[in-house]
Parts: sequence; structure tokens; C-alpha cells
Amino acid sequence: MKMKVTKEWLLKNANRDQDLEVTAGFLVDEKLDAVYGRNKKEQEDQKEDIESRLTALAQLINIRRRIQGWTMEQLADKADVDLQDVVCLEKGIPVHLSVRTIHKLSGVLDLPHSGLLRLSGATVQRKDDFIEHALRFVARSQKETKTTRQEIKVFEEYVKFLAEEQGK
Amino acid sequence: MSDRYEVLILEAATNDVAKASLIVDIARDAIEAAQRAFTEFHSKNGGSPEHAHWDWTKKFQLTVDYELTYKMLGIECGGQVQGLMLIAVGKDCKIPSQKGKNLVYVDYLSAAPWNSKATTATPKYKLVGKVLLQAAVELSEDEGFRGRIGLHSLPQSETWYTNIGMTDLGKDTAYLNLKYFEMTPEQASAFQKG
Amino acid sequence: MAVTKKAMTLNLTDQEMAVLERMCDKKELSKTALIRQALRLYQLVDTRMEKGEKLFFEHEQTKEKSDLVLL
Repeated sequence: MKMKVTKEWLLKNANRDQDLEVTAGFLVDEKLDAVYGRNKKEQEDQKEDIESRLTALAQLINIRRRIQGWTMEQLADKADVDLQDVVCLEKGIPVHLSVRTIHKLSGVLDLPHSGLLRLSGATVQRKDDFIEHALRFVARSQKETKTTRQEIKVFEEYVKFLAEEQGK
Repeated sequence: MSDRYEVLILEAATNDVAKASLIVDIARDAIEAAQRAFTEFHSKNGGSPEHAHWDWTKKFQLTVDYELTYKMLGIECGGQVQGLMLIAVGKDCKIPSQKGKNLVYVDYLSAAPWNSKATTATPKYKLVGKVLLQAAVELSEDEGFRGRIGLHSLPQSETWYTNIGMTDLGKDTAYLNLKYFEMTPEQASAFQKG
Repeated sequence: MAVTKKAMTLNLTDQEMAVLERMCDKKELSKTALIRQALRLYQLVDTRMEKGEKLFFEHEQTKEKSDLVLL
């Protein structure tokens, strides 16, 4: 190996692609967990957390979409994301989504971006009560054909919580 | 045993050149120290990157079990690891024109969180990722693969790989729909020129 | 600082040499590079099989599976 990194090469690249990160790899260490295993309790805890998060995310997106009066197809179209991702999301199916998809959905649905990232599992939550809030939202909101005032109120309170978390 | 090469990176705030070391086969204790530093930084600063919970010490085990295939490389500057990369040597090319040939596959690549705009408004160093990628290309040349590399990009880096001239082979359904990129020998040559 | 390397002599039959040369042409690798790649793959397969995994081929279209003979 020569590894000739010259000052000229560096300065030539200094200001290019300023806001772009150079990263590669899996979203989660699934391959390594399959090879080297994971602690059983860790697995069980994580499974519960995942279910709570995904259910909260599903209802959040479902309710906002229905408030807007859109079908899933219309949402997928407006957000320029795969319809399959929207369907899986609203069904609470654990599909791994790109940050780009979350970003686009949060933009179109006007929902806090980092809150959605945490619910989807793309980022790690810092606070223990994050899951608890998600569970409370799930428990108090209901799925009906039309959104009720109560549903909207509960929904708006939870969105406010997520927005406050984002601001911290 | 680790090999060291002198390289340069840039201080992000000033574009001043900083002397660094590229370490090939970085030692376990250095990776553990880096992992602790990354984790501490993330827990203090939160941030959005999808790779915030990567476990580099677990990845290190691959370099022990499959010692001829996996290599861990790092960039060290100012006494700290500034970026890490895990490569797998000898995977098959997917670009049709390169069928039957081999490449160096970049399994994981990431700069330290304090060097990333996703986790801090004031990154410390830049071009760490690019220098590591350069190392992957050179290792590929050393193995006789003429600079061919391949990788699955995280979403925030897709534009960067396109900009450096890599071939985009689209979303890979076998890899969580991450986009797969490859570099041909000609693209590698252009990349090295800068 | 370069990685230290050791040289060795390799005795191959005419048939083995013919296969080696054919594969080198196909993969655009030197003989040394090809043998290093073969060793790399052998070690990887051997380690995984020791861990209890099985190696097999799957046909892309028919999805038919077959064991890897020999190893």
C-alpha cells in the first residue's frame, strides 16, 4: 500500500460534498447477531419495545393520513415512497425503512422527524419514558373509519410530546 | 499485527491539514476504546444516524474467525480513532461487465460521531471516510483486484458514492433495501486521481 | 511498514496447472493472487462448517439446492 494522500488532493476535496456523510453498512447488526448470538433477556426486552414502537408509529401515521382524507396510495404518492412501505408501516409490520423514507413521510404528514425515526427504530432512544408514552398513545387512540374528536385530541397531544422531545 | 501508514486529513473548521495514521488490522484494545468514546458521545449528544448503535467490537470478532477475509482499518489522529472500516476481501463483483472478478467489499464504514454533521454542528475532522475508502481501493489493488470495491450505502451517503463515480446497482432486497454500489478499475483510477 | 511475506514452491500436475492458468485468465489474477483467494475462501468455508453451518448451492431460477461435494 502506498496511501499517498497529498495536501493538494485534500484541499481539492475539502469543500466538495460538504453535507454528505461517507458511510456504508447494515442498519442493524443482524448478520453478526445471527453468527454470535445475543443475550436472551436483551432479545425479549427489545421485542416488546419494538412492538410498542411500531404500533405507535402505525397509529400515528394512520390517524394523520385519515385526518388529511388520503388513501394509503395517495400518501405514498405525495411522499414519493413505496406503497409497500406505507402499508407495512400502518399494519405495524417490522419493515426496515430508510431515513429518507421516514424523512419524506414526516414532511408530508407534518410529524416530528426525530420522533418518527425513534419509533421506527432507526435511532436509539435516550429516555426510558419514550416507550411508555408510545404505549399510552396506542392505548388511548382507536381505529375507526372516521377520526373522532377524542382520537384527534389524543393524537395532537402525542404529536406535541414528540415535538417537545425533538426540541431538546 | 497492525500496519501504520502516514496519511493526512483536514480540520473541519479551518481546512488545516492534520497528520494522521491509517492503521491496517487495528488492534482490539484500540477498537474497544473507540467504541467507548463513540458510545459516550452518542449518549451525550443523541443525534440521528442509523449507525449509532453499531458494535465495532463485535465486528472485530470477524477479523479473528475469518482472518484472511476480514480486515479492520482505522484512522487515528490526535491520539483518537477518527473513523473505522471493516472490509471483506475477495467477494464477487455484481456489475455485469465485471462478472467473475473479485473485489474488496466495504462491510462497514463510518467516521467517529464527532466528525459527522449528523451528530454535531461542529465536526472536528473531515475527509476521514474518503481516506478510508481510498485505503479500500489500494488494498483491492494489492490483492490483484485492480481497485474494484463494493458496498451497501446508508441512505445519507448515496449521493456521495454517485458523485465519486461508482456504479449504482439499485436497492438490494437481500440487504434491507440498501443501495449497492461498485467501483470498476477505471472508476477506481479516476477516484484516486481525485 | 509492509506485511512480511514468505515464498514457497508449489508442485502441481499439468492438469492442475492448466486449471490454475485458466482461472487466472478468467479472473484477471496472478497465480499468487488466485491461490491467496482460494486459501481465503477455504479458510472461511472451513471455519463456518466447524461452527455447524452447511454449505450448499442454490440454482437461481429453479431454487434447487445441492450440497458442495468434497468438503
